[in-house]
Amino acid sequence: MNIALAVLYAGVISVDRFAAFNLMLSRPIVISFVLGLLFGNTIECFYVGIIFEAIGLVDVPFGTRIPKEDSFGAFAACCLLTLLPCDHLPQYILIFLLVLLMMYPVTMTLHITRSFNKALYVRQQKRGRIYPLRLLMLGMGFSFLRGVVFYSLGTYLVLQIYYLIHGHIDYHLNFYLFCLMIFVFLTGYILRFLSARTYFKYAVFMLGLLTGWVIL
Amino acid sequence: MKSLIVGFFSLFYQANMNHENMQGTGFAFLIRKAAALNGISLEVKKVFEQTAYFHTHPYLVNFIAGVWVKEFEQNGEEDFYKKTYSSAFGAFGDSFFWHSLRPLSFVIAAIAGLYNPWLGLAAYLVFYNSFHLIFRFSGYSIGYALGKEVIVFFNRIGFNRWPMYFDVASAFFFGILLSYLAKSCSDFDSVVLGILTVYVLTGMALAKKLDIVLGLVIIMILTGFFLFITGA
Amino acid sequence: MKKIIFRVDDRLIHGQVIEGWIKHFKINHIILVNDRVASNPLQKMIYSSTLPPGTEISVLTLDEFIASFRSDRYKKDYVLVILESVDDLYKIKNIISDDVYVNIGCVASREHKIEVSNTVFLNPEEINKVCEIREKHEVFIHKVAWEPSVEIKNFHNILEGNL
Repeated sequence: MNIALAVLYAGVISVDRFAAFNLMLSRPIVISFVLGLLFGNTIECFYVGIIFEAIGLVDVPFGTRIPKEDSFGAFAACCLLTLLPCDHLPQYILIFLLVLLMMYPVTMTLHITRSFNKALYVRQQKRGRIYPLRLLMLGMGFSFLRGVVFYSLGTYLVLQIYYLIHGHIDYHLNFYLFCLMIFVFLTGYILRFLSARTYFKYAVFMLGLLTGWVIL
Repeated sequence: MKSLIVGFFSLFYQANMNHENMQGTGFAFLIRKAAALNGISLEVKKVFEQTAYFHTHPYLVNFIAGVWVKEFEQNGEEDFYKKTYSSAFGAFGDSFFWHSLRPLSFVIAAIAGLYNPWLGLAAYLVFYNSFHLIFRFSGYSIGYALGKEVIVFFNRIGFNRWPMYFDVASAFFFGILLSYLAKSCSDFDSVVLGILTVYVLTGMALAKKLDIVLGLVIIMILTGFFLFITGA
Repeated sequence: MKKIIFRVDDRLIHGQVIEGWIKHFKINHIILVNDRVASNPLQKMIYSSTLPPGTEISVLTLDEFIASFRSDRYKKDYVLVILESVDDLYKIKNIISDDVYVNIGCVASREHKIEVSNTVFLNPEEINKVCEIREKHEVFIHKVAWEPSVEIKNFHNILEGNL
């Protein structure tokens, strides 16, 4: 039941991401909260969410460009952490790497969506009459299907590849420390991305660090 | 009321996005609805023309719809201002919503989510969408009221400064989040603090030089190897 | 990256320009070269309002720009010159030097245009003009600074239908 809900949610993510609403139901951190609550592993999903969100914060959909599918990354990684019996760091790393790799073909499906939309538009244009509502409905439907099919397929493929190549190293390492180190690295990217006077920005960041340290 | 209706229709206007006319189809759909609300029935030819290339920020498109209808009613230059404002609002929207509001919403949600995932989820959606929906649902009426001079509204609220303020706030909250995450990590000690410092500095040095996903892959392998060697 | 950037973009100043160039390189001087914008105070105000605080903008006509541009003024800081069309770029081709990075960012699809990339659509006449500029200077298609640029080399092939 939970998996069926997750698959439907994949469709909603795909629609929200580019086709309609833009209510941010497709942000990795939101996906990780939703899937964490759905599958009951909120902490692990949270750490996955912050890593993929960091990618999306820097790789943004400015103008006509298509950013990498950070939403798929968070979706697949959260699902796999639930489906797979991971308790060793090498397994986590393998999952992360496979999901990152799979993000590229899933991003390609966004190009397919745009080509599909273009074909529909050009066909009507050539006939001399355009029905905008029909085109929008078809675009939304295709986008929903894209999410349901490709997010699920991508996650399933990663699962199968993982079973094929996962290692047998049996070291119990700290998943949270691993995620923390990765996220701290990505924070460096985000800090450079934020726009404000350089020294002022870093001073405020340091102030935040100190405040967090003292208060929390 | 008209503004709310146009705001609702604008939720779907990007569905036919493509590289040929970008959001042109959606704009034609939106403008037909908006004009109808003002008692104008647009000719098929006019709607067809509106499907030409058009691209702007989705949250600010209703301002353009308002300007367009006003100019059309006054026999003005609706298509000229449509093009001008599509670029300007693209710049405004990308700078504020994509560049600055998303990081701040994320960091607030992440801090809240550490206490309770429901709280984190609500924090992101409420904080982000309160800005998003206000602009989306008030855009048409403001655009219609001010017409081609709608830019005055954005100047009055100093909108081009908002990204800077939000980015500074994000930097502060990122500091708090990192402190909290580090302190709550069971293995935290001075060595981990030193390593984390090196990590953030490395990230800063590589940003703008190395693609973020490639950087992430490299750092994951190195971190895994490092933790494996040190047995942390 | 060279300090002087000439960008052809028919949307002039929009999200990609602000985020992909101005903020990325911390550019604090923009020159918008367009006869129509230079003669319309409202348009001038619209485009200048979108810039981040601290960024200066000069809006010039093509003739004013040709008369006032000196590449040796920009050794230390970046300057971004925005032009609306390949025709405008062609008109100022004589002031392009080796210090200038020429890129075509976004030229929208219109009737009778050929798709050069997914954001650049040019007609045969414009392609010929780019080829002529290309004989002396490199010309790139470059959406945002952190994405790979594509150097335009064999544009003639497009006209011959080989691409």
